[in-house]
Amino acid sequence: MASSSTSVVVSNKEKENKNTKKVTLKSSDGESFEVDESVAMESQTIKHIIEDGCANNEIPLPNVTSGILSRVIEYCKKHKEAAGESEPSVTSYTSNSTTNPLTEWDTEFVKVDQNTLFDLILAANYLDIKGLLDLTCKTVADMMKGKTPQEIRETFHIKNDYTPEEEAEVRKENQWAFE
Amino acid sequence: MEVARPQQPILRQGYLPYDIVLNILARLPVKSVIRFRYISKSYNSSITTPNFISTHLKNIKDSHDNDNDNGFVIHMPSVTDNIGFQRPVCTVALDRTFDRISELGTPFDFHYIYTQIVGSCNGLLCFANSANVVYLWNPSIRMFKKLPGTCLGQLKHVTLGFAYHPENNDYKVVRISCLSLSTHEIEVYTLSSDSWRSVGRTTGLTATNVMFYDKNNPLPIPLVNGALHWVSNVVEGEENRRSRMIMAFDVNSERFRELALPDGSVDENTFQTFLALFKGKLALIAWEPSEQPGTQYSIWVMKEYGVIESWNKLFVVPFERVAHCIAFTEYGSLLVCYINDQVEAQGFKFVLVDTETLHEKKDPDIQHYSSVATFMESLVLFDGANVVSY
Repeated sequence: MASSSTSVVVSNKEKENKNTKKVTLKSSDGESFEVDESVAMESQTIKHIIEDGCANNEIPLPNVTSGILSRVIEYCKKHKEAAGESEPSVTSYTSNSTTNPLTEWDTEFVKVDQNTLFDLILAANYLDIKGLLDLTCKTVADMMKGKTPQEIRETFHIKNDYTPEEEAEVRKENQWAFE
Repeated sequence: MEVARPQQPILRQGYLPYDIVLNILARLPVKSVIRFRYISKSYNSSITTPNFISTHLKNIKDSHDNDNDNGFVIHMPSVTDNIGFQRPVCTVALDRTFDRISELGTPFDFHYIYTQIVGSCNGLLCFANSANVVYLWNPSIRMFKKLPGTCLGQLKHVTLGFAYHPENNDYKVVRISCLSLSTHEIEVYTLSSDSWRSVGRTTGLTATNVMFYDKNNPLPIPLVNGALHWVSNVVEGEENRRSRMIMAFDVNSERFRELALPDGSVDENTFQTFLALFKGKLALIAWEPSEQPGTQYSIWVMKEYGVIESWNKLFVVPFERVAHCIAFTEYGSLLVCYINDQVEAQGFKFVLVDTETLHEKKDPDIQHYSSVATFMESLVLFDGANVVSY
């Protein structure tokens, strides 16, 4: 999904933003994505590159494939839009609620297969997008709750360096956590 | 990657780096973390560090912010002659309604009559009994620790406060021993040093003859703005004026500061005053006679900490008969007890009142005179020394 700055139907918003700076991001498989600079700067990594004046024509992102990059851009766009529209949160004296209006959208966004989810985590980590990293890590954490330690090892490719005797012993110490 | 902690993780398909896996583990509920601590030896050591525990705690608190009005309390019978428990059962309940969530057995013995929850910070509870034995207990991880004995000579008429010390990521227990009406001694226990230390008398106070001890205070000493707050009777000046003041013990500097009570909140007719925490602010609860038959509780809140003019009387809760305050939760529920209820023909009758709506809950699932504190899950004490697991 490569976004184009010259769409046929130009909305009022786009008319206002005609002079918005754009930046081009290039995925590992060579695809180019043009996005508003403000959207791209949701990524602290890209923000630093731009601020350091190193973003000439394109910013190459060799660690992110086009499939993942397009999703990341979608996330950043959506969250940037929402940040622009929302009023500053009013904390009333008696009410404690600070609800995130994008909760539903975020929940749908992370309904992907595990490989994609892990790739999104890696991209969010590399691009330093805190909101996306929190969202994806929290999603994986929720998936893990009911699993056994062995299943966790398999999911994350962790080598078990406890001997069977050691493992039986430590498990006994914390038996209550396994019930 | 099968090495314990790769320095330069190779990003293969489906492989998440070590630090990210830790990031994920820090978002799990406590029981899951305990289950997964043994996935490998290196993860086990990373999980039992203060850094991981703090990150995990922060994640829990962040998720609470998004999930308001779902705070918890823990309550325990203050043992009486009639019951005589060795190991009282604690109940975890919803802050708002006292609906029971679960029960926990205390893992240590209390051989004496009176036990009290001193305080609760970040999921770590502090308990003390009338023999001055103090415990720290985190029920979520099933670990507890008995504190060493006092470093002061003799303890008399003791009052205790429990606090988190953020500057050092540490926990402190403050014990004030009131030897007489005019003299008292103070000692502070810090978890990091696992020892008590005397801090001298009335450090920072200008008033003399400060009386901290109130045997009728059922509420934990509130921690607000990094200070523990006691209501005290003081005798001041040459005319020996008696008045009530708030003594705030700053947990970081270990010095007292005086704060005035709200104007007109307390007079010679006031039965009792307590301090509590209400939505992060210092609250004064004054039990006093009311114009109608019965008594009432006036609840004042200090909107701006330290600014005396910002004391504001927020609520007045009337009762037709004598109602003893058992607890005041952070959410704003007042739990009272009617004793020798002639109508119901039973020893105690408990009523829970929402101070904002004055909505009453006549049966809040409490059977005994109890000690109540906030409750949350955490890994605090997980990395502690001299800690007992059960």
